[in-house]
Amino acid sequence: MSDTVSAPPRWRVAAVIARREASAAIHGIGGYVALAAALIAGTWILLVDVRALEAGGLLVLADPFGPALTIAMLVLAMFLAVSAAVSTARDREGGTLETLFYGPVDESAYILGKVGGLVAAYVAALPLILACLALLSLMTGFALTMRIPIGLALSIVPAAEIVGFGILLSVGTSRVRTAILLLGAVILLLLGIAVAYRIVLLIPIADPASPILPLRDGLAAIDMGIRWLSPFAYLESVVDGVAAGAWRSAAINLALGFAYAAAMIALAALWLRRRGVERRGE
Amino acid sequence: MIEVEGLSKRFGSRQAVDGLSLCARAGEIYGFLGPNGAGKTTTIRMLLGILAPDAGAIRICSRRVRRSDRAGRMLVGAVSEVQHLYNDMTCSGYLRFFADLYGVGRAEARVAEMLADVGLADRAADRAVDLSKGLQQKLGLARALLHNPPVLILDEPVSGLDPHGIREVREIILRERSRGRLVFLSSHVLSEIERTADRVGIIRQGRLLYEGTVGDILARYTTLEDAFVAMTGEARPCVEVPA
Repeated sequence: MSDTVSAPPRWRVAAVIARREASAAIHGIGGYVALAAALIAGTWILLVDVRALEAGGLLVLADPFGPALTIAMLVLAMFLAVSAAVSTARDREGGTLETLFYGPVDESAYILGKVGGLVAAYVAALPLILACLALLSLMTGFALTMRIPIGLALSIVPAAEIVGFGILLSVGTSRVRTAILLLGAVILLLLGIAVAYRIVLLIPIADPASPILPLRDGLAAIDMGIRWLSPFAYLESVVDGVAAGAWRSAAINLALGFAYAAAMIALAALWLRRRGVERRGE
Repeated sequence: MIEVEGLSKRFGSRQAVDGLSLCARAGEIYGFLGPNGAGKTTTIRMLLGILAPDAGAIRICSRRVRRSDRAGRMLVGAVSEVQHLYNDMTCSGYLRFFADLYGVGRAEARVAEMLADVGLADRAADRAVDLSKGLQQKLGLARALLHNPPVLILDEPVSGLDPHGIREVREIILRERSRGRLVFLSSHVLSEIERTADRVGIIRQGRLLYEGTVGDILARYTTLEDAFVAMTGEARPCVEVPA
């Protein structure tokens, strides 16, 4: 028994888990469906702008690909969040989480590996998105500026934060279905508040004593809070900021996104440690 | 090699393990017995460092076991009753994944060696989830032995296996003992424990009722099963077979 293997460094364990996670994401069909949906959504937004330009003869945009890129990134981010939640909950439900922890895997290595693997799969999708945007540039005649590849590259940080958010939500659940429902509820809540605020903004108010006013103020405050709390808001802010050439805003949101990602990873590891790795009912 | 002192664990109002102390030595098969709910799996999870005890201490190879102690886990290989496998992995892919996790050198060769060791060399390219339960248990044993740990902890490894499967797993267990490993074996199949174990520890309600050699037990009782039933008070009425 003298040649027992010593424990590998934590980063190496995380890298093995990340490789496995990235491979599963790349070989699964879900990622390609999400990528196709993201590209369709982005193309649709671009076509809306093209039609507006045809109709009005003038379109004022900081970058014609900015809105398309933001939508495509948000669709892809939703998929990342769901994948992260499903992947972690599936490990617990299937019992593989406990088997991993029989070995030199601890909570930090596991969470870092999960985040790293899904972010790697996201990075693999970026050249495809860029190629598609280049093709659309040729078809529409809109110039593809350097801001777009920079925005794509910088979106990796908020993508990591979104993956961390999905994992954090699923760490406390025992089943894949519960994890998906919980994540769906959180996303719907975030979207619902944003949409409600925008709808209220459209309502004309003539009377200063209108009950709509305090409602609008309340929703504005909540919307502002969500902009700090929602991981999707940072992605939107970074991509929008870069596309508009608002570099300072993009840099601040990038730094905040980085801090958010670190907080999500740390909280997920702590919660997993508190929750344990056993399957439900065992 | 495994020293447990005053181990306790409570889940809510239920005392799962209550001041348990035991000692298992290198090169022996230690049968860890107890009725359902006696605290065996909880104890094993604490031995593996995935559950923190409320009180007491565990030492494996003189190293204090702490929760999430990565280096400590390298001293142990563990196999549970059911193998939790990845749907998309072949047998060799599964072992390769864990060999990489454990940082095993020359992983490819080690995987081939372990597959041959447990008699799965010809199933290397098959999906692990497609194997029979007996073969999955053997794959689990191969995984647990990849990093050559001095201690092997097996929780119900022959549960649900047919006689062929039981015999094959038994042969692997006996071989590992002959290689100097401590095999800590929890099982309800008392005939297997009687046949393979050197010493046994019997627990009930989280407390140790007996620890000693199988020979000592058989000097007092006809079979290990008789001893188990007498000690744990788990006698159940026999089912009458109609004439």
